[in-house]
Amino acid sequence: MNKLEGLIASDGSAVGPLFIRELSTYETLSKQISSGEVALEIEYYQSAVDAYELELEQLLAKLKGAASEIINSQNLILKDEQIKAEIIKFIRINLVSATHAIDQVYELYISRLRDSASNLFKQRIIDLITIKDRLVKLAATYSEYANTDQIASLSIELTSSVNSKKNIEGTIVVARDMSPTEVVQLSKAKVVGIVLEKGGLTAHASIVAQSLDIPCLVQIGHQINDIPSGKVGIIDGEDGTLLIDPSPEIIQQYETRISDALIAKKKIKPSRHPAITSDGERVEIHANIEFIQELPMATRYRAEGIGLVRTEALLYGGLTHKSEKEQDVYYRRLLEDSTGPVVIRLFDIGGDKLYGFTTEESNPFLGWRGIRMLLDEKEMLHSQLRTILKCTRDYPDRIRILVPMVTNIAEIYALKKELSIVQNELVKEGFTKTQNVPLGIMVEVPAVAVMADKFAREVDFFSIGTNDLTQYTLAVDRTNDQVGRLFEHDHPAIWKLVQQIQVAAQNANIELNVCGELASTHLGASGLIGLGIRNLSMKPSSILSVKKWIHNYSLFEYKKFGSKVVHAQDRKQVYQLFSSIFNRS
Amino acid sequence: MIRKKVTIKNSSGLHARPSAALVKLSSSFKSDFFIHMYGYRVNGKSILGVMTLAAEQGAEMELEIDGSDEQACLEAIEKLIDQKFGMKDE
Repeated sequence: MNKLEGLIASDGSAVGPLFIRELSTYETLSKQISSGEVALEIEYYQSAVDAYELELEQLLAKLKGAASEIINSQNLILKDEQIKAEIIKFIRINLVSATHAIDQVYELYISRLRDSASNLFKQRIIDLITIKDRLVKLAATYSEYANTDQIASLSIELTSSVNSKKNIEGTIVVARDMSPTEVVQLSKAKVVGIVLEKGGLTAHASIVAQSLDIPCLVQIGHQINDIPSGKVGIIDGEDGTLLIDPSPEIIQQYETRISDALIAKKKIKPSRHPAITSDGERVEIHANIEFIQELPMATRYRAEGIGLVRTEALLYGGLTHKSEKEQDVYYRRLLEDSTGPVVIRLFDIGGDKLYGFTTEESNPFLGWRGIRMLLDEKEMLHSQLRTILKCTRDYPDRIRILVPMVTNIAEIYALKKELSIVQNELVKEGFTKTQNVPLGIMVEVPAVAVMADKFAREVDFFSIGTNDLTQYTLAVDRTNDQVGRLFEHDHPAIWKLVQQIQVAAQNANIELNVCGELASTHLGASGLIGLGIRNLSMKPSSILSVKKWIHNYSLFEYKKFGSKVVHAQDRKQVYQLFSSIFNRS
Repeated sequence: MIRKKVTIKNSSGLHARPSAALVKLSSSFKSDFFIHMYGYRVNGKSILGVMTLAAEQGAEMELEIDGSDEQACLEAIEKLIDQKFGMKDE
């Protein structure tokens, strides 16, 4: 990777393929004309001025502030009566073509600026050269078409030359120097950044770049011919450097930084960018996925990972077993069609789902389910662990394993033992040993919540399942019509448990996310962020609404809510607190 | 015809935008308007002429105004220069 230093002419960072814009020089030959051709040549010049004026007016549309003033001043130069008269006189007296006259007369003014001792005025040279070059080109085109009698197709030619910058969308344009009009054109062509070998902080190009919010570096003091076109470049708007051909990791870093900055400026749609509070605190939003069909929506709303894969979905439809092959296809589809970490929760079902003996247990939610069942059904557990570990080799660092329904530390030890048995089997079968997959537990039983500090020492991460945690804490079955209304996942008791879990995770320095429904509500997300949680996972259809909500308020307000909600005496107070703090709509 | 010496006060001098402001203003008067500086005599209603004088801050120039509304024109131009062409110092 190569690094070039420059001056920051317009703030901001950018990532994109480098596009080297070579200097196009127009050679204007001194073409003699007869006195009978004078009127024609004057007309070519005037047509060129009119056409260029139209182009500038198109550029001016929607421009504001300094950029608009500068393009306006270009227009004034173009229409300057003095220079018009001089050019026409030059054609008449010297009997030369319009192109040559334009070149010579403009050159006279340009040389005056060149002789100026002031850098500021020297920086305006490029403005005049650009106007001159464009006029020469336009006049030459008129003359050419007039001679070949193809006036009809002229307008097509002229329009296409204005729009010829389409293919540079998303690039960083590197040039020796640049005029303000070109900066506006590049902005309309959706270029992401500009790097100039020369240029200056007070040059019009820089002022326009600022006004249009395009990151721009000038005076990189390096021959632009040496810069490889097509390679990816990064403008670091804090260091004032251009990085050439950086590694994918560095590109990723900058892309994150850029989208954060955009959000901080509130210029973007929350749907397309990470969630961030109004004062700039990042909150990761992940998706809970049950079926492959839910993935496109998670991608559309830019989930940063899959915070919960409900693998039970594989077992629905009365099937007691899924072959490793079927599991493999499911996991790989998930990994292939998503980005970021994928947290695979081991089969979280009760015996009822597995064997259909619903009547055997009078209270299945307090029965044989989750890790309790998995440790008894070794064949099933091993097939799932085998499949996951095999996928890990192809998707290193992306897979995490989440264990449901843990209530005892012993269950974690037992599961770790099974994991190493499966690892060893795979090695025996000839698979290379993979790195350890991060192992986490669902915190959904009050026993684990109150002893979170002990459990935190044994695992790599916690995931709070607020639905089951509520059900077990409040002793309410939400599907029971008689008591369902008592199911309050925002009950003060739940907030107190969440606070304990967060403190334990933070002290043990392990990751923590919340994958229950609480995270997908505005009140829930607010409290969770306020209590220090920075990773929320939810069904894809809630992502947009939660992201928008997070953008609206500051971390200060979330913290205020978080610190008070744990002291509420009932749900009514929780709601009162919420509406008193978050009252901007 | 009146002639008057003035000094450019804004920090970046008579660059494009101040020049544009000067040209716009002077063009609204009937009088002819010329600027004398460094031995040049440029048309004050020509942005290129004014701009390529490259008049920096502190530069002295002589204004030459000739016509029926020359007094009003001079006053307006002096006011513009005094107000630094309405530009914030860059």
